[in-house]
Amino acid sequence: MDGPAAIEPTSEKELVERLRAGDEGAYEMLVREHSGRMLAVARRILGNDDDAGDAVQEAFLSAFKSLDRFEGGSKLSTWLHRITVNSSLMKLRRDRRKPLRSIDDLLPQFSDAGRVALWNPGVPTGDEVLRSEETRATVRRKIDELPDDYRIVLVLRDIEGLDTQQTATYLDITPAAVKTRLHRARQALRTLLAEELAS
Amino acid sequence: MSCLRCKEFIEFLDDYTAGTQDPAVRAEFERHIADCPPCADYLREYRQTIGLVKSCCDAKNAKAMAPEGLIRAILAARRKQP
Repeated sequence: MDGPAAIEPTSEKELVERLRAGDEGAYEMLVREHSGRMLAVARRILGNDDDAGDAVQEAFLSAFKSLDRFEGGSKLSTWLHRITVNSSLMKLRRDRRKPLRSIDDLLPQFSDAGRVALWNPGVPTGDEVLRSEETRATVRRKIDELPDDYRIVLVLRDIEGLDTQQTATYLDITPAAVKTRLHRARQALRTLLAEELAS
Repeated sequence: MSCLRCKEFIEFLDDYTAGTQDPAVRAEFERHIADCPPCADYLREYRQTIGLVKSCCDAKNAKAMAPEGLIRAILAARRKQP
């Protein structure tokens, strides 16, 4: 990479100082360094590239405006991750999608006595299945098919690695609601994968 | 037959897999799994689903670079920021 690489700062602190001073090269370095991961985060939350690109742009602009409030207590990447999640969630709330299927249709069915009804065919596994790019694409596509309220909890907890309390704070719901939605999202995804991968 | 119903087993599966249950409740879950092959299968597939999500969407292995067009758009928008 030309330009920015030639003026690589020795530390994150120095980069932040240069950003605050309006150094164009520092801005380019920051964007090039972090935009890929931020885009991946936004893509997982929003489910498509166009919206994810918009969310990342909004996240960067928001970060640039609040650089003075970055205290250095966390890493820049952590700070930008948080801003990206917030920006993506705001966009998700604005452009809420109608789910393709109700979550209830994807949960297990029981007899009146509470005994299990017939399960769908199982979820295939094994290293070869997991390594297959087709399988990986299918899993990502099926996650995108989950209703937003459930998908977003699955993404934040199982992929982004946030804990229950952090997820609850981001989404402004209770920790108990996070746990319920995560469990239902996993169950629904299991049904979707069983339908798709076992066929 | 286990006194725990399948419905209760499934509802609290998340706590079971997270290991956050009271030991007595956990023991009852394990008796149910031993008695109920469909629930044992469901537990295995529930765990496989969690594993699939993590292995297929590994956040740490995301592409490092965004498209050049997006990078340029962000930098251009910054220059227009007040």
